[in-house]
Amino acid sequence: MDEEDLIRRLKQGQQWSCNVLVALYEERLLKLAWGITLDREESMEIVQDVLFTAIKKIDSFRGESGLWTWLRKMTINACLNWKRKWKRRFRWHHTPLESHTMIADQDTEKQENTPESLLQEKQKKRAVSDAVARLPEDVRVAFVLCAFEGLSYQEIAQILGIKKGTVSSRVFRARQIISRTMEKD
Amino acid sequence: MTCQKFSKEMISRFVDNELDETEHNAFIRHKAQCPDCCAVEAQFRQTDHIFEKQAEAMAEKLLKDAPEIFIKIKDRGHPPGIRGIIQRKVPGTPAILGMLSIAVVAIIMTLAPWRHGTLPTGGVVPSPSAVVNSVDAYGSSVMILETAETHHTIIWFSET
Repeated sequence: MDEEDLIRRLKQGQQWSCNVLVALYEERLLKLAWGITLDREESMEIVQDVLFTAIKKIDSFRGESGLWTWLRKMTINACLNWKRKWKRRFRWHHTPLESHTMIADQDTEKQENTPESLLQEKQKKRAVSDAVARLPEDVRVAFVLCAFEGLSYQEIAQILGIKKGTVSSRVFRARQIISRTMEKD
Repeated sequence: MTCQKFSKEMISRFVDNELDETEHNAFIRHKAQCPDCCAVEAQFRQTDHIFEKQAEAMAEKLLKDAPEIFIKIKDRGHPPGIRGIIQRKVPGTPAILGMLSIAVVAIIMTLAPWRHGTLPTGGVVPSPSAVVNSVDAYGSSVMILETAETHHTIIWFSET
């Protein structure tokens, strides 16, 4: 089923097409949301809300951009708004760094290397996790869109409403901070 | 550490294919002879890769741990309002039966003896207050009412 067919069926309200939409995009959206928020519960809630909104408002989707572009934009806006929402409610839940490194450790176990290289790999991943958690949000968002989505600086600038030069400096700053953390370790 | 010719920010832009053609080609020629710049480029690419893999792993884990969170959005296609609620909660049952069930409850509530406080025997029963709680499940619903003065509890159960 191609995208046009999926959109047509969603507009017709066919329930199974909703399942298809969820199956196609949930993991990718979760990856994006977690990359920006670094919060598990919030990223799940955001993606759930985005998919629900997309299904509910599919009639307003004009098809000028692709379905993924539309979903991504909604996800980014939701991610950028979540912290403001929770700051107003005086709730700031910062996921402990251990939860960032847990995923890194699991991934390391799959590799067949010497103990030394495994340890080095583990330390590198932990360093990246620690550094990413410390990135200012605006820097991390630009970096995620660049590294995960492969968007050009111009595209990122349009999405975030900033200048292209600002995107370049934020992405560089993210890499610089992460690299310095890795060098310390 | 890089050589003086190319800054780290330029290398970062090279990684993202954001240098103009002249600079891009110049860097490709340069890095063939500059291990420092090669190392910086490799480190930048590695950090991108590691973070992206972590995010992928996290997304996979989140879905594995809690796949049911997406169930609620899988039942679009029902009309809005009461009819939609009935169709969602009683799949396969004609909506008319569900609506009849609610209509019967409403009629009974309206005409029930306790509504106006009079029983056939002439006794007076206090009117119930508002519904204290109600629970809707698939094919059935429960309403819990409480009388105002004596605080008797009335449990109304209906099933379709």
